[in-house]
Amino acid sequence: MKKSKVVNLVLITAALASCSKPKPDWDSNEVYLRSDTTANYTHTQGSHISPFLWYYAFRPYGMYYGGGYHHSGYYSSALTERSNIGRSAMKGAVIRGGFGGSHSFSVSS
Amino acid sequence: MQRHTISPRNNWQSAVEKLGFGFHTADVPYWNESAYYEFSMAEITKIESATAELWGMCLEAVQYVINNKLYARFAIPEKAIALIEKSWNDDDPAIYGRFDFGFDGNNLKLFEFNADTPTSLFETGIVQWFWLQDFASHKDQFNSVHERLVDYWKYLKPYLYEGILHFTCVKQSLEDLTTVEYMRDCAIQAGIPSKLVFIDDIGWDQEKREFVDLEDEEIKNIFKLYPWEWLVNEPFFEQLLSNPKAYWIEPAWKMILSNKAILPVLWKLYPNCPYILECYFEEENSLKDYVKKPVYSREGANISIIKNGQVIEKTEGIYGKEGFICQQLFNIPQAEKKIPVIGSWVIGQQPAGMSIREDDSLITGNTSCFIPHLINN
Repeated sequence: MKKSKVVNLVLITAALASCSKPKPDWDSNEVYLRSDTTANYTHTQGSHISPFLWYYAFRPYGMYYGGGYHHSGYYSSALTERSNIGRSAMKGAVIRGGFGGSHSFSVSS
Repeated sequence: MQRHTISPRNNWQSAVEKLGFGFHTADVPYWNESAYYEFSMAEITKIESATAELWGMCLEAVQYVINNKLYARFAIPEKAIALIEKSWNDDDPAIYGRFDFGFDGNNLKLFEFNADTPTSLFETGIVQWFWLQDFASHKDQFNSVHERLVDYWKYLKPYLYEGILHFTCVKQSLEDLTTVEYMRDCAIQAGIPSKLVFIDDIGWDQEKREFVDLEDEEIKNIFKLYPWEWLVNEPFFEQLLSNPKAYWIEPAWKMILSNKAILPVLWKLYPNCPYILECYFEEENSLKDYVKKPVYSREGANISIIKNGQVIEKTEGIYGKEGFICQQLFNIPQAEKKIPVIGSWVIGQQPAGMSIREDDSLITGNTSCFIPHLINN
């Protein structure tokens, strides 16, 4: 059916290997985080997200203007809105969390 | 179709992890290479032909449901109908689906069609293919999943809006993330720029009235591993309706095909098709030996097997309030007390390969194992 074909992957091996990092080496869940320098730190539990997915815990945000992308900070759904948004008008214009609320552990089918 | 017991590769865990397969073992191995299934070319040809034929019938069945406004029987809410019909009439991009079959050596019967969010794609296209290279590289496999995905993304590229193709799934599942990242890998190889955004990170820009990712970049094309029946009941569905231009892949019309209510429709339209089991909506059922399935359910939840009016096996779950269908019971011969179900993939309108899940139970659930296969030429 495809005996002579060569199968290459360009993304997934590297991306998912990085998910297999060992659990972060701190022994306490007493973590204070903020994702935006204009926001306040808040206490959070460090184990909201599987260690496999820490790679994706903080996502960069920014905007495109002047012909290029300008990085502004990070966003994390593991943090409270207070520590995510700060005074960022750009973040404030966007609402999030309107999808994903269904019993969404896995869609496996 | 024969099951063979073998010794797994000594380093099988490390071999599959190198491919990016991180969920090979839960409480017990999900990826199980202590056995494989051998098929003859005639059997594979039969599965391939059935897949192609059923795909054509499924498209006819969708048109029938739309023409006859059968949405209530599918428990599809009124608010989703216009979106479904628009996506169907506009022929919005769709890429894949997986038929689940029972096979007794002669008869091949359709159990259901996972048309919206089928998983085990990566295991099928990549992991079992590399297993074959180690185990019996001179043999073949019913597996062109990878090539067809790359080719079909290339075909779809001109039909997408210019710019990024986003990919989304839930955060908490490495299995879902792997499926989505594999799909994204194939899109990248097709020359399509892409980004991952988790489903609950998707934002709605209230001023521009468009969906955005975490960098506030507009989402114009998005592949979602997230069921439509969940999306329609979530708060952002109203925003999705108010921004109908974006392409959601799989498209909304897959809400009809992925629903088990399509099974009695297929039986009504094609009662002489050798691949379709007799099937009715519960209130019209006259079968004595049948499987009762909710129109919406996942991972084998809320399914009952009834023989001579007696429930012989039943699973619990959270589904069923939308109604049930009753499908004639089909006996799959057990091999070493295992019951295999064949998953036959359609990618870009074409049969594309096969996966096998096996279970100790008549009902394939989330603890079933993936077993590789080969073709004996």
